Amino acid sequence: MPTLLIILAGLLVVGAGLLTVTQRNPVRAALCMLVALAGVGALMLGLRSPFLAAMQVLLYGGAIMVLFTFVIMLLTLREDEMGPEPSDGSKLGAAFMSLLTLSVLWFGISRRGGASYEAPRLGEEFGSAQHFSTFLYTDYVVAFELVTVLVLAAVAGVIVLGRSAHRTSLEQTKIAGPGEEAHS
Amino acid sequence: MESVLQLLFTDPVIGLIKGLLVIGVVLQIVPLLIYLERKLSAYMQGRLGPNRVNFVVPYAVPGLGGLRLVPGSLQPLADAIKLAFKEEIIPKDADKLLWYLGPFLAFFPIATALAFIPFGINHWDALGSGVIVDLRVCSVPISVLLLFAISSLGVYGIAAGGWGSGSKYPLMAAVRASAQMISYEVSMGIAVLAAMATVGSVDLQQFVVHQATQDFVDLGFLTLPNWLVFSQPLAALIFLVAMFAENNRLPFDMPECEPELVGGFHTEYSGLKFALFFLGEYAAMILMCSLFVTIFLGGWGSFWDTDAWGVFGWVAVDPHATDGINAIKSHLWFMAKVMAILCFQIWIRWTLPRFRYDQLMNIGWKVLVPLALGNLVLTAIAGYFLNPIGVGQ
Repeated sequence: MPTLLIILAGLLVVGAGLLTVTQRNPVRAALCMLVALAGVGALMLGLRSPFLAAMQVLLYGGAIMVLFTFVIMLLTLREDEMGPEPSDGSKLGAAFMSLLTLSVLWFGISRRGGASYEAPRLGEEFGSAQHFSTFLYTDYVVAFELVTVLVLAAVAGVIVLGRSAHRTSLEQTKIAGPGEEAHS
Repeated sequence: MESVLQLLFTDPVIGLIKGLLVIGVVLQIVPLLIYLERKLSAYMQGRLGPNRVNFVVPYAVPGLGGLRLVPGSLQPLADAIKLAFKEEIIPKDADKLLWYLGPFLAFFPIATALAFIPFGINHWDALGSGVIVDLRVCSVPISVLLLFAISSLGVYGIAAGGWGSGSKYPLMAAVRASAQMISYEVSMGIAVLAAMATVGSVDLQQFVVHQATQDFVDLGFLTLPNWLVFSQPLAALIFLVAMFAENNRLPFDMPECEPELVGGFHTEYSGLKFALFFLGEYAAMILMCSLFVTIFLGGWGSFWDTDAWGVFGWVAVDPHATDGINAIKSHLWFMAKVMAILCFQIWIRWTLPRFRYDQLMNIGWKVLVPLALGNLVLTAIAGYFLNPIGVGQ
């Protein structure tokens, strides 16, 4: 039963991921990415981590992808603003790179023994919120805190970038004078 | 010796029955709620409200006789028939896929999230068969998180409906609505975190058991139950305010305030698709009120114990009993509380004026989020000093 779930969820993730990169319409692509992220949640459920699965859907589906969709909707790109269709050469290159990644993955998995690989026995409480957070805040607390520093750096970077962009637009408005529209 | 009932009541069968029951009851409450809203609104404003489509009750009293009318009670049915026969208009520029997906994305996450609400006692001996039934559709140990995870996907319905309409006013309204909903989801989530820390669990049924089996304080003439609204009053208030914003109700009904702004899906949708959006909104109201009742108002637990005076003691729910009468009583307590909170929402609608959009964002980010964070920190500190080994264990 969990194996079937993992196979189905894996197919869903791969299919939705392919649709995400091939769709021309950005909102549809974002929704496909949402499906892919939900599929990753299902994969985690198959790996007996319901807490991680819930967090995956809650954070990626409920928060991050909402912001993505939000920004895409605010930009409201028209067909002619989306840029040219990628050339055949770059498509070929992308296909070659994905095949390369796939073969490396396949090589790695087959070296591990593939299907005959014995999964470790898990306790009954594995994957529960208590079990997960106990590990996160004792054994892996340093790694966890380092990740938060990384996120903080990203937030600081966004603020710096956003502020400078904001300034230039303000200056442009000043040049254009009050009451007149800024010509960009 | 296993009885027939015991063989019949397997997990899938019971799950199916409970699921059909919950979705059926919620779909029945929605028209009732619409009628109640219109009638209560009319009553508060000194109007009559809907009074043309009457339900006739055969009413035979010796000496009086005749028929009794319930004014306007069939109005929701008439509305539904009208919506079903309306012409379905699809805008020329609509994104067909998202246009069709929108109403479903708005309704189904809410309907799914209802599966995690405990609507009755957690151990009912089903019809005396020895099979112990947990009165909620989906018994998972992380139900609060899953409920928030799934109900937060309801935003996509509004976004898809606005974008899929293919014109700018629905799009702007959809952006406005989703900004409001994700802003208030933050403070609501943090308020619930404080409640989780108090209970020491992420299971909604554990929330209710925690509240139903302990007393908060004995005032002498009255013993308050251990409801989180008493031990976490600030979190309850934040949740309540955020609930109004999440449901797009007054005073936060910016996405659809009739006089000034055009709503997202209101602009282009018609007929049954519009009805599905509307159904989703009312189902979300019921979901949020049930969640508030479950987390802060003791869920299916009664306000007083079974040893209270006379009829009060009989009405109370015994959180340890397994008999059917007790299960029905627990469900009635839950429904009564949910209906009370729903009426409270309607009442507030005619009490507070609407906020401006910048005021709404200021309240969300500059008042509610800091308050909720402070409350969470205080809860953590208090939990450490009161119970250093582990909160709620």
